[in-house]
Amino acid sequence: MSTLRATITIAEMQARDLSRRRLAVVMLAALPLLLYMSIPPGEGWELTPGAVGLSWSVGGVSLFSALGWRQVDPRLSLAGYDAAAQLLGRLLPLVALGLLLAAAMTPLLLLRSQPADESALALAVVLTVLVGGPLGLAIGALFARELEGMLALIAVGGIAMSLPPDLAGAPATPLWGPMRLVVTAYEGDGAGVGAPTVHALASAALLGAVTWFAWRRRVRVRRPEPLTSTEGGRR
Amino acid sequence: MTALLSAMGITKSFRGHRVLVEADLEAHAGQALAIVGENGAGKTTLLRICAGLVPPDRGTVRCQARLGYCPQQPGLVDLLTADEHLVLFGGALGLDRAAALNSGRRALESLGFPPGEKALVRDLSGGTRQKLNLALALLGDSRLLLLDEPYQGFDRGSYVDFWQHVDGWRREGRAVVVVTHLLAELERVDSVVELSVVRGDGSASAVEVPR
Repeated sequence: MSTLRATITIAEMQARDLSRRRLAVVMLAALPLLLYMSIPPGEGWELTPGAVGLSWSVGGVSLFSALGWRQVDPRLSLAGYDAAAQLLGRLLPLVALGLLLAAAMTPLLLLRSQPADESALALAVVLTVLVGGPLGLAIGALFARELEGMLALIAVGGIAMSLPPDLAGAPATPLWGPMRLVVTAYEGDGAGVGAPTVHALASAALLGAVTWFAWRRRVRVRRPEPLTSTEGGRR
Repeated sequence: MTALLSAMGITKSFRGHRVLVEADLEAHAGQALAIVGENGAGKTTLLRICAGLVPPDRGTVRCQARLGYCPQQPGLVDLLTADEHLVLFGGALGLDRAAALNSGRRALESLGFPPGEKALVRDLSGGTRQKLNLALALLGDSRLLLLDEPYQGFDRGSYVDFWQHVDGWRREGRAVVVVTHLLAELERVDSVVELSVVRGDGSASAVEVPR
């Protein structure tokens, strides 16, 4: 089976699984909106909780998806799916859902907060989704239980929210790119979108690599060697 | 007799606790083999090693056929239906949607799975889930079946049917390895590997019982 076909099959089943978590999806859509709307417009920092809330939502769906399939993963690998198909197939519907959510949120953010640089804000929202998906999968690959995984996700988002992006150590956090773009969008400081974009894409790639290695360590199937003609006649 | 699976000298420890010492197992086409033993004797571990899901510390596993593995705890997705599982697992075996549904529904029907059942797995009874779990191991005409207590949750009729299926799979030339606690059924298999909890002297944990 080609990796592409395998990826499509996994993605289809992941999408069906997601489509049946209606209440969870509604609540996860509400989270970034509530965080954003809880702060009056014009305060100057209401966009940051909105973006972090979006990363929590996308990351949370990814995390619970990873944990929900955890028992099935080894069996799917044994049946013949490779790690790339399973991880990509899982990520695609999650990112698609996140981008839909981002597309619904962005006009509201633009209208309500009226940022100085609208394109920087739109880019920040998209990059938040692109980092949030792999972030949730990486945490799901590293932590076997919901509680530990959720606490790790909250910690990463919380740090991103509380750490000023221009602080020396801030770029060490995976959500620095979108957070820096939010500042650029609001203040129109002309800092440029290049470095934050590269940082976000590199973070997504790094989180993907972490997921890959943790996955391979946990799910690796060692296919038995074939029997030779001289073996197997013990009885 | 053609051997389809050979596991020799399998030794395995978890966190310094020895579970298997020099365990041997050989499964032949057209035969059924039972793995028995007390709790903690390493039955599931041995089967998982044979499937390739757990690496042995020592020993070799060789296999000559496509294997179907049925885990003790159903490895299923709660929010998918039985048909969706067939498509998902059939896809891994290279079956297209129609072939996976055709082959899988036949296996489900033979196990007494309710025909046309569209419920999500989370809404199925334990025994019905287990039938799906077993049917997934049968997909793609696997010649070697590794079944870890596959009848858990079955009612009496389904349980009796299961052993009749074992007879049928043997006649088809498949090799069937069943982990079981139920010694009353051992007369229905061709060989038995009895595992015991590894003692302090590190003596071999597997003894093949002649039939």
